[in-house]
Amino acid sequence: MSSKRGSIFYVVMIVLSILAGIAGTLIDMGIDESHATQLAYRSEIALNIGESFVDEFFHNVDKTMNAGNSGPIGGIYDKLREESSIDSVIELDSKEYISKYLVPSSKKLCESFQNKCSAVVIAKIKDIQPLNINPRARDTQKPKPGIKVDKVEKDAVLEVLVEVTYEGYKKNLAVTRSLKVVNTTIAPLSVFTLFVNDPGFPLQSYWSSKLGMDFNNDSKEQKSVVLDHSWDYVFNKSDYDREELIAGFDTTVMQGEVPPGRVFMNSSIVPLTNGNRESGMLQNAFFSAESELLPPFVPMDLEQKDEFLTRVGSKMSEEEKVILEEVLPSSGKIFTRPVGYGYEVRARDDYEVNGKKRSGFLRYMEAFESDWDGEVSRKNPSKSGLDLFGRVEYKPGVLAREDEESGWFGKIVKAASDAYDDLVRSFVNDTYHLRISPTLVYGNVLASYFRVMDYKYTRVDELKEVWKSRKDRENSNKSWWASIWDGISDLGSDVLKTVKVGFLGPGQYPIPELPPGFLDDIPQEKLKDSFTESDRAKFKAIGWSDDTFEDFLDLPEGMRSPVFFKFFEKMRTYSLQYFGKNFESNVPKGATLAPYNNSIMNYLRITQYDSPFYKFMLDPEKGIPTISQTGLTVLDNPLDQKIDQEWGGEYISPLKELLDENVPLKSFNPFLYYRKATDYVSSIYDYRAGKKGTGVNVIRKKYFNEKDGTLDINGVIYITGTARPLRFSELLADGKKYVRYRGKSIIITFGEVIFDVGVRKFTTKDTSQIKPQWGKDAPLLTVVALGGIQFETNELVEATLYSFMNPPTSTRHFTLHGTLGSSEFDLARSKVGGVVKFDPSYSMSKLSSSERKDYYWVALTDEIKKYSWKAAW
Amino acid sequence: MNRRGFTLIEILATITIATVMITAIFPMLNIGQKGVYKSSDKNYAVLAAADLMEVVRGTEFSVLPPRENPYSVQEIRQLLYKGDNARRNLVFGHVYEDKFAIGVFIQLVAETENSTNPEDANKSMRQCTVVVRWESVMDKSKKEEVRLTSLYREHTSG
Repeated sequence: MSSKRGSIFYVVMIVLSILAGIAGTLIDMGIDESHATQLAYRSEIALNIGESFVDEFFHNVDKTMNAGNSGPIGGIYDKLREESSIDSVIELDSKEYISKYLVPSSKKLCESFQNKCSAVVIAKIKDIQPLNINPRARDTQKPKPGIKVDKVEKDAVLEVLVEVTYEGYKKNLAVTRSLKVVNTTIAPLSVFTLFVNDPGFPLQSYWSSKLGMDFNNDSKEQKSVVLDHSWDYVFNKSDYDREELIAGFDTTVMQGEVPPGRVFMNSSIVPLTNGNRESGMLQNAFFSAESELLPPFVPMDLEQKDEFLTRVGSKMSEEEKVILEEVLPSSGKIFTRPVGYGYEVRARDDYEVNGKKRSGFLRYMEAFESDWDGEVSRKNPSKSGLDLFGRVEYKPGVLAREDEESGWFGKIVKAASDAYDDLVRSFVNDTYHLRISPTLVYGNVLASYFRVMDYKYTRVDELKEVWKSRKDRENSNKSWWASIWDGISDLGSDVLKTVKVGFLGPGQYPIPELPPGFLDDIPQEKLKDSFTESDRAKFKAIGWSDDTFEDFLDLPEGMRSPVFFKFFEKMRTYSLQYFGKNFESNVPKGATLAPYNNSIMNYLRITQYDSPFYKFMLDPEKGIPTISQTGLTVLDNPLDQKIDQEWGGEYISPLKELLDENVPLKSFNPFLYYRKATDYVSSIYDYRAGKKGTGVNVIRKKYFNEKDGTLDINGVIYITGTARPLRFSELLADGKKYVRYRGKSIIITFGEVIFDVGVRKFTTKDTSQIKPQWGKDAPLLTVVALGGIQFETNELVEATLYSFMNPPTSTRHFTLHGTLGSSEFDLARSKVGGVVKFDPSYSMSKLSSSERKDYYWVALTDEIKKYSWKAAW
Repeated sequence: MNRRGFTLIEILATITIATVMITAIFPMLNIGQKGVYKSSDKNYAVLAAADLMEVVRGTEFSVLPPRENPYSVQEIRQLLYKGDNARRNLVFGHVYEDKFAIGVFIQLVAETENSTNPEDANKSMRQCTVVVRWESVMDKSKKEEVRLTSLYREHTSG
């Protein structure tokens, strides 16, 4: 059995071998584990360094993109504010600049690992898309014609790629985040101060203007909401001479720099687009009203008038020249002046405005109306544009206190009382450049005014004869001509006699229309020869009564001439002709024809629907305005027609859509469509924190800079909670009386906003000298309050405010420097009145594109679109 | 003579060889085991550091202001969930604390020259360094350490 000897050796060796194997395995495992751990450690270090780079990059680029174009990487600022084409890419291609300015600290951190760490950063802005703000085109993702896109505003993606190598372990991070370029100072469509949208026809343009007076109740104390037009801003002047003012006005109008103080009413809902003018104007082309802001009485000689008309894009017709030069020479001068649009349009007799008598224009309208019961319709003056903002109480003796700070009315009166004597003084007095806006006009309206031509007739003796012969006729009182003569007689023994010959606008003229071709057969040389008794049959054939014709014969010869009729004929189509062949070249950017006046709307507010004038307005062959069955006045217009024609039916005027009861009002609010938030605040107060029951104001916590007591706010902030209003006193620094803010921001809140303390830009120190500012400190805080806006302070508020759903209200006489937009304005809820001093900083077209860039905020959202990493070693 | 059994020489030889081999193998076993423990500890430490780093990154700046001394985990837990006992244990696993000595350094990062508002420290970058130390399994007198450093900024909701 020798074979069994020594077997213990084998057994032990086997056991030992197993042990050795285990030991070896353990060691191997240990080595592997150690290696894996080392890799994991390096990976974590590399990842953290990589995240450092990413975080620091976004942190600095966020600031750089909004910090003006200074500094070596200021190019990003500019590039982002350029109009970008779709899918274009902005490379941040300078690695040196990126290292030096965007990731310097991370670079240092990396270097602190001695030679173990290295990093490369590459970044670009890609997937650039214009913001699609047209809700009708969501299917196609292409804006339909009609709503233009602000090409500066854009959606994009900012991508940063970081490669970190730590001890041979390489980590690649790719992070993309949403980036939005948004305009934070949203001008309401175009330049105007107060945007009132009051769609119900009975409530809008419901006469009563009397140019600022509540004619229904003179004894009732009423406060005004005064709109200061900021002409001094526009012209940067404190005084004007007459020519300058006239020229300045027209230039300003034509260039879309019309001083504000306008109100848009009767729109579907505030159809804000993305802040560019054109789109807004397209949707609001229908609305215009004449304004007393227009030079109220501009005496012009022939040359001046020609120049004037040229400036406003029109020209004097040959016929007009003939009339002025040959037919009625030495008869005086032609005046063009506005007629207002409220009560004065309906007034039969003289009415008094600021101590001056003016004649109403009902007489012009009466040519087209039979039974008129104006008194009935004068019961509700509360909502006409004029009435809204012009209601002031005349306080006897106030003139004596005109220099007192509180003497608004005195200043108004002083400014306006000498209107006929001194044009300039109607706008400006010595101490205060006050512009009230009793009637509220236009966006970038063209000067297609609602005009009246006052013809000063100097041949008094001739008029007296005419008057005498008219008086001799029994039936004289029944004709519309009689009214004119009444008007003349009212002037008594004035040296200058005025015949008011209205060509009030497209389609409105007191002279009966002659049928087409009536004047065609008259040879050129006979055009100046007046119609006489021998023409009676000719006129009778076209429907004139004998009475009318006899009245007609009473007119001075020149006014019975074919050329005079031809002149009026041309004036009828004046506006349409204006937008004729050279449409684009004639129309300033953003401008629109404004042939439709509140006065027309007022006039159409009639109960007798068989009015010839009404019919005329509905006649598609003649009239442009139309009226919906719902009673809403909707006016088609040449601009819409032109676009419709150009775009082959693709374009549907929003105004036309309003006519269709089946089409709901387009209540789109682009704020809610395209403004992606940089921050959402679900509740203004966080009751989980702070003292029990009071909570912590989240807005203050997030955006209030306690160090300098400033609200430091940027980007688009949505407040979705409505439980508590956004009350600005809660954002007040200790010991301060007003909130200071800095930055470019829109706050959109679903709730209410209460201004119970002053709110000023960081740069505004002296409230008595509030002035527009351009540049990076210029943007006004924009607040969109769906729950309404209330003023509870008379301290200055500097902001662009939109009060949706509820009209702005006030418990104190407020002063707003900026813009106020609302769906409605109800003076009954703002009885103490206020002042809106428009800040044209943004709106003015003279603002250069480089300055305009400062109004765009690049919002780098915290939304990470993509986060990925790869590792290699 | 019975051939069964082992001779003394056999036994002595076997014992000698076995002793020699075991003397060689057992340290190997010990080293292997400690190596595994060491790696395991380091893994935990890296995880702890990474976890804490994420906690700090996700914490509002005002909760953990910069300071010279490091924050302890317990301190961070208290600062994060004041009075909220239910959540106190969620912030960071006790398992780490039992095993490691952990310090979290928060420092302010100097702003770059294109800062728009250098005074606004709350909106600046910060640097967080998480240091995790533990007793080395290899040598009780020595300390092991992992250290993660990262810059970060405050993230707002959005």
